[in-house]
Amino acid sequence: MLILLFFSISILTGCKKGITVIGEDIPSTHSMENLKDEIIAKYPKPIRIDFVKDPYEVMVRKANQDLASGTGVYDVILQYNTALASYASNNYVYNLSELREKLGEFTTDGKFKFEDKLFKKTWEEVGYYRKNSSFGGREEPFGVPFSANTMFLVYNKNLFSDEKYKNAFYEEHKIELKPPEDWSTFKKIAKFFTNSSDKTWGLVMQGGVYWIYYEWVNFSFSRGGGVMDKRKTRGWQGDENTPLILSSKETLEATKFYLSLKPYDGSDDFFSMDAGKQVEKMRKGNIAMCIMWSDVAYNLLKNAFDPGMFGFSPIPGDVSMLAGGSFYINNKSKNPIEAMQFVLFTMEEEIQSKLMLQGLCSPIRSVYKNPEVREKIPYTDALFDSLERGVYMLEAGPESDAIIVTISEMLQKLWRKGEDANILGTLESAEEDIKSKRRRIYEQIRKLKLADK
Amino acid sequence: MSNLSFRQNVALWPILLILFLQLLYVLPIFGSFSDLSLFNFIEDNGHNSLLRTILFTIITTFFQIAFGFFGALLLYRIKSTKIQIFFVLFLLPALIGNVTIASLLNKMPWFPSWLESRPFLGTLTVLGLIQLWQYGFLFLYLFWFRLQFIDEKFENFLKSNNFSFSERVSHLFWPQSKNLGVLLAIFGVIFNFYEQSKISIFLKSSGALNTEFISHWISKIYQQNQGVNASFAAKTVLGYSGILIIPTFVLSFIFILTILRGGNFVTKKVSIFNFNFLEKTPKFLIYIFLSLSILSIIIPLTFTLKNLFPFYQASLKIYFENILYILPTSLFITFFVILSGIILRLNFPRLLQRFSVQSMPLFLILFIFRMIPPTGLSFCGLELHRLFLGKLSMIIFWFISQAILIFPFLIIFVLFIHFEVKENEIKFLQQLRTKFNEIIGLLFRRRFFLHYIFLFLFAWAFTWNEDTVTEVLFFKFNSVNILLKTKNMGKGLSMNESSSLILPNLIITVLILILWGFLTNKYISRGKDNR
Repeated sequence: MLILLFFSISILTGCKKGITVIGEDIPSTHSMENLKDEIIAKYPKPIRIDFVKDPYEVMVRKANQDLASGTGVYDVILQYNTALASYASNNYVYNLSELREKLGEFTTDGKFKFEDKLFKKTWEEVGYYRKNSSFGGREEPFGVPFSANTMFLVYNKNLFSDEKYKNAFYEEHKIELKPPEDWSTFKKIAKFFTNSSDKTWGLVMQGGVYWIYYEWVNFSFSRGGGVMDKRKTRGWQGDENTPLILSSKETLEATKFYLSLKPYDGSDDFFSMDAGKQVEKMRKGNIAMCIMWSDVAYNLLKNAFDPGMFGFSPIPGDVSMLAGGSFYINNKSKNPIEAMQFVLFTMEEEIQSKLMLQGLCSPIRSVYKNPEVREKIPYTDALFDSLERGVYMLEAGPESDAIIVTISEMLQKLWRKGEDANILGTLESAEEDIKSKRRRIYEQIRKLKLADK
Repeated sequence: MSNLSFRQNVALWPILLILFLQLLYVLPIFGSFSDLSLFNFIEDNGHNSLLRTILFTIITTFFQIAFGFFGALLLYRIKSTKIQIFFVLFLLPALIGNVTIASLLNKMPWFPSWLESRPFLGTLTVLGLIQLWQYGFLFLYLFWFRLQFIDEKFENFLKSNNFSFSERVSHLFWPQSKNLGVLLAIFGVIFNFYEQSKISIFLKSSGALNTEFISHWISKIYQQNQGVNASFAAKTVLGYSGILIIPTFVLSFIFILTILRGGNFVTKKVSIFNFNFLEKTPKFLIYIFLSLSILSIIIPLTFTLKNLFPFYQASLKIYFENILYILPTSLFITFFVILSGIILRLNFPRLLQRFSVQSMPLFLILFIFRMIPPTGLSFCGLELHRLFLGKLSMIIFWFISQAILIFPFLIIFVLFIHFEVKENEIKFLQQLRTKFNEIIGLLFRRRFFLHYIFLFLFAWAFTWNEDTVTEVLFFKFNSVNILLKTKNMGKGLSMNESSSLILPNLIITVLILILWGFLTNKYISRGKDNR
């Protein structure tokens, strides 16, 4: 009986024309799912929209497999810029020109309405690609950004506004205790709040693989260092010959500074600290500051005992990270028009404002002026300012994942060794490792292209 | 098969069907070997992860079996059924599954500072202790359970003839437990070699930190290669997964040989390996051992539960959906396995009466499928189920994938418990031309009723906790286990939501164990009274 029941329920819930959207299980995706009914109402005909939410690695595998095998299960894929190179160069997804052609009635002067409203630098970072990825040649947009992310400074307002701490800090440093605008003050504040008698810590830093890299690039790039010698370009640009600057003087100094923060880190277990655990740690109320992903800031506030205790500002220095993801329309989608319409309707300003109120970091600039958004989302200004001054910090070429893993493991080794670490030697070794991995990856790409011909 | 009778050939059909389905399932692995230049194990630094995994597996499996057997010998001396009922708690860590354990570890209120730097020995020791906690107690319970069915008359005969405890171990307890030891060795090798979730969620795997085991390394290879394209990345994972069958197979074989041959060596050299201390241990020390064992299960759970209660929010709807899919699946699989096991036992009365050189190949072949890394199995699932994209066919594919994943464990357990059925009993009833259903009643149903219930418990726990294939299939019901995994990692982490998933999970498991405890207690006492 149970078996029959089990199968009949499956049949009854069966097929109806619709689209499937896959994304990471985070507030950005939840917000779209929560507004599903409003988006559906905009369609001229009834439609079903299913959301599939998974942990990042699982989402990547499922989306990749669907694209590679051409099964067209997922119509819209909410993916990050590390996938951009593979999706574009393997022709897995529609590019924007194709979308404009198919949905011509929604365009004005050959463009969609939202195009002029986007954070341009974010779009170019997460959604543009040049198939011939070396410098030169025409770049074109492949994905429409679904979120404009960054990493910003989150600080504990209760600690910062406590008179005891304000006076003591001034006493010691002769400057006001406020969110730091330069890295030197950042370190002073971190040191100041690391106090075993008060059981407070200056920082909580992320040490898990991938997470450690994302945090480190903030330090590295804002001090003139980085991974590749391609200043003022995009993460997806470059090729196997692009010079690496991992062992440059600037990167070395930035890494030394990064490692010098270790005594002020309050994570119980640094190497397992990821974005989600960092949020939990900040909620405990005894950490002064952290550098946090903007797309988890909503979670920080959502169930916090006292959401008002958190303040937000761009990271110290004068540059911030550009990150985020794009809507990718599967070119084997069985309902490509409906999939594209989903993107269009989601990108309407009214919907974007509502999405931002539910955790999305909107890629539409005007949403950040919405009074309700400004009132209810306390990180609006910090996010906006970060995106305005954002630059490339994250690698997004075909070798990006190999680079991220190599640098993550390198940083973990350095953190573990502490003061005894041979920082320059380790950076140089990582550089060689990246060169070797990069060479193999590009060799493989060439091999596969030849095989296709 | 040409030397087998018609009935024996037919009896093999259930196993052959499953083997056929398993072979189909892993076809993508064979396809990945078309270009061997893709595989650079040393250059990709797989050797460090592999060596670490092998070392961990050998040591942990050894301790799990040793702890299980000797712990059972100690607890064998407790005859009070009122106390024995508490032994069911030993099953709790294994039944709650890897993801729940990892989630609970994540919620520990403190973290040992010496572990933060991930020292080699310290890290492997902690991971080994977690594995021992999860499976060592399960093994202890199974060994103890096995000892409950020892012929008391024979034991009394040995005692009255002044056989020392060591001699009774070598002549009675070990021979009766040896087959179980082999079975648990295979389980232990597979569980330990492919340990993945607990490390990923709790300590986070990393090639720089002694926490990257071979399963994690394969996932890393995929991640690094996906920039080329998805097919290429999947091919490398599938290829490496195929290659890794070899070390797992070899390790299992070594353990089996060690237990079969080594156990004999130990029992022959009783004077060197003296177990009399187990009999001489004062009863109060045994009760202390029991109390500490139970407390080691309850205290971490209670301590962590205390931290979960403030966050609990009801989510019972998800549980109902899970039960709707998992209950019929596990019931059907259990029934299929029991029937297959009975048919095989009846048609191979001599071959399947013990683990032996002749029967070992059959057992190992059944397990080869499970010697493929979970990541490889999940990619096979991904590759294949694009052929099953209609909603109904996706559900069928999920069902079949669960069946073939768990079949090796269940069938080998069933074949093992059916060793109790003697060849002459079968031949006697066959000569009398007894009907099939009567044979089942006489030889199997009453004798193994409790074992079959346990089998169902195992099938249920396995399907509930399965996170390898379920999470990657395009069809997905809201698996509690997968949701729990999501809520414990990365940007999706949520203390509230994971707490609301763990608590009902634990409550259901404890209720099941209480029922199981009363059932076993009643059955064992009745069995002893009848003897």
